[in-house]
Amino acid sequence: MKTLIGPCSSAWPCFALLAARTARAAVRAFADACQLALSCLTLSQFNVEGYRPIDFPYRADLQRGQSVPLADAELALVVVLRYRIVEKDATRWTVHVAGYHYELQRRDGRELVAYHWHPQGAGPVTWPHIHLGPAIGDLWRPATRAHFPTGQVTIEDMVRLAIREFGVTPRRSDWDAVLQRTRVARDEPVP
Amino acid sequence: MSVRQRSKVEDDVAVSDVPPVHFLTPTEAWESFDEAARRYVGMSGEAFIATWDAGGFGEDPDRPVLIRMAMLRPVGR
Repeated sequence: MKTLIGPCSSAWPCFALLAARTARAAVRAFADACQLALSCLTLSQFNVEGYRPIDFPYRADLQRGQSVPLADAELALVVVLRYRIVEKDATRWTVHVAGYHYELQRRDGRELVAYHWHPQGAGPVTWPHIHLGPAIGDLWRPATRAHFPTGQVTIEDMVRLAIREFGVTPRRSDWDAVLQRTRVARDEPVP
Repeated sequence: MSVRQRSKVEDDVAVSDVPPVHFLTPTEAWESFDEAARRYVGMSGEAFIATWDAGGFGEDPDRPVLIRMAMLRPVGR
């Protein structure tokens, strides 16, 4: 099987997530945090594929990878990622995000922006990057094909982008606190 | 365990209307992958995998529609 995702390394640190006593509990905690962060935008369901530690990263998605319309904006969100279950030490398990596709679209399906990270298996671009889509408007042709480098992007970043920059109405008034909480829960720095 | 983890993450934020996380069955994972392949790239899931693994999507497989599909690929397929 040709996989998109490579192993975690010091060069490409994965996102460290909650540690738990079992692999299943670690996946549950990771998924709960993702679902909670996404609840700022939608009640669509977050899905995970497995909890047994294996060599290949599992799939996780929002609404089975479908485009999810966002409130009061002509936008839709796509979230699909891969995660790896890692034994943190002898008694704790954690989950690492090992790749992602986060996309904001117009409601008609045209791509606005797509954030990617796929360390292996999809051409030479292995670093996190963004694609600018046709919904932005007229672009210089090379820009339509460019992979603009970015830092690592999280689900919380996407939720905040939708609310703050594109005027999506948050479902909950405590959205900022929720995003800080879920991000901290995943041991990630809060900007 | 899941209840304890949930409280650790969510602390004082309301979670009453947050949908429960779903663990996909292999059948659900495959069916949603196959449906997405037919909708977004106009081929079956099996055809997408065969084309992807053969490097058949040209010099730039890093197109959003293709990465979306590759990320949706079920484990073991």
